Amino acid sequence: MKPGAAKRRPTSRTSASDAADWFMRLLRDDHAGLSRVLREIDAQQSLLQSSPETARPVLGEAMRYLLVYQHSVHHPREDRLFARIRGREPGLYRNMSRLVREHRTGQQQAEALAGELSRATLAQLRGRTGERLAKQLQAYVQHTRAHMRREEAVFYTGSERVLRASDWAVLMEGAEQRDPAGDLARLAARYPRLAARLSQPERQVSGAGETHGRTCDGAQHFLERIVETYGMLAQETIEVTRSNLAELRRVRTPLALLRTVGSIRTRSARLAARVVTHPFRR
Amino acid sequence: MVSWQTTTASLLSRLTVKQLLQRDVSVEKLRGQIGAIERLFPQHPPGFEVAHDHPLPNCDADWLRVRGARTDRVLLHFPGGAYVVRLPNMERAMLARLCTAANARARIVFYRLAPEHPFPAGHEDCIGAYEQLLALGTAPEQIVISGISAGGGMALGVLLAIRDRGLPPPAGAILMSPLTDLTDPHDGSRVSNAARDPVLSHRRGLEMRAMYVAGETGSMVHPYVSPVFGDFTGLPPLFFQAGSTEILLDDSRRCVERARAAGVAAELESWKEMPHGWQGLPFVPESARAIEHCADFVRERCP
Repeated sequence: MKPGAAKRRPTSRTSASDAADWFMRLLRDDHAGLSRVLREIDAQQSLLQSSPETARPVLGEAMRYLLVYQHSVHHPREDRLFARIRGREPGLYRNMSRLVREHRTGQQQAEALAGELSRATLAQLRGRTGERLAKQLQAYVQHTRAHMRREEAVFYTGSERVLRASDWAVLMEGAEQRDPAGDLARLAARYPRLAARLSQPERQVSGAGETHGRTCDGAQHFLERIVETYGMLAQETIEVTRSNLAELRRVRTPLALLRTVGSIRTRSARLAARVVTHPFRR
Repeated sequence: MVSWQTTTASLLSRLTVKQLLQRDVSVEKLRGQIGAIERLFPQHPPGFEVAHDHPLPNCDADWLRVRGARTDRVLLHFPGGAYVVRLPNMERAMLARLCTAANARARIVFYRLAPEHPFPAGHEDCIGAYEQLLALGTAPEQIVISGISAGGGMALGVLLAIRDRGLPPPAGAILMSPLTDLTDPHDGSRVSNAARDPVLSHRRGLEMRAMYVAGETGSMVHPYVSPVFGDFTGLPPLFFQAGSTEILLDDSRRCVERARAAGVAAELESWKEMPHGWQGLPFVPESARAIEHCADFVRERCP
């Protein structure tokens, strides 16, 4: 089944396994939407310093989405699941207490980042503040992905086995809200800039700390050409040296030696001429 | 800003790999020299189990699994190497990182190579691997096909064939710097990035590409060989990554354009100044980020 296409909500008469499937599917779909948005946050944070005027609005909406849906709807949903598991199998819950703590700290981090992003001026975002915020956003993204991986390991290892029909019935109560990131049209209604970015065919991503005008493209291209030219000449030199040595090894008579020295001299002279003239030809 | 690790890797590649690819060397010599890079990578990624169960009839194929992990997601991966060479250790190491990040296991298909086995031998090997996955009971919605460089082109060709044969489509595909046009058009990024690309050169391109189609250059426009000429209708979502200075950048751009025109969800991440195949360089920070983006796509397509 494709993401966002969860089965019909089970009724009180459906089996425990259908209810478990439905609820777990809801959580997995939430992770699918979150993954989509995290990818965009990581791309935008890399452009925060060089293009703050375009990156900040998208990042602002992405952080708002995280706070309004992921931290306020999805995480409480998971916390309820973990609490039910604790009631049934405290041993399994021990792995989950860390996840519950991470929900709290993740929300605090997201709130702090969203606040700082909105308060900073464009000039600040182009400078050290922008650099620090980009690093923090990247760290938040990495931390959230690792958290999701740990949760998936828990999902795969036992909640369906441990919980009973009555647990799933309670968990399904109030679990109506669906992740807007699963449907771009729905996302656009509340987060238009984020949805517009997600629907673009091409996204630019750069390395960490990209700043406007720091690199001198002309000089860089020139250096690349120099490296390539001398790389090629170095390869030719290696090949000429190899063939000279091979020819010398084949020498058996004084006459052959004279001939070999002649051909080595010609080849080496040709190479020397190329080394001198080729860089200026390009 | 490009990391110093990427800058160093690009510089070394410009001095060695690019020089090698544009010199007149035999396939054997090319395989030998490219193979030397393999020594940098462990044969078995640490923490991973490499298994050879369910062999394919005509080529080698590995299973890569994180030891002790349980997951339904499967990555069906096709390696790169211009259809004539390959770096199995490097591919395994890259795929291991992707499996860890995406909580998935992987099937890597070492399809037969040209010039000994020209098209459609390798293509059939890859379709056979997909059919085998289905026969083993893997749900198609838990399969993501991936490929790098020529393997990316192979992946797209296989997706077209899967649709044409009426097989259930996988959940999506990850195409890393794919080679999607073997006719080698002399325009766009193939020309504008020719000097800036630190890895690839098309100076010897025609000779290498002709090997894949056994000299029948007319076959180069076949959609399974050059998927950019295919009809993308009905394909699953496609996720492309390419470096902004690669000569192959437009191969991805044109595919995204065609896919979206056919109603297929397709997107391209253009990574600033990344060299061809940077996803496979474990010491490069941008590689880790790119792999995480691919893992996000896997999680998105196979919740």
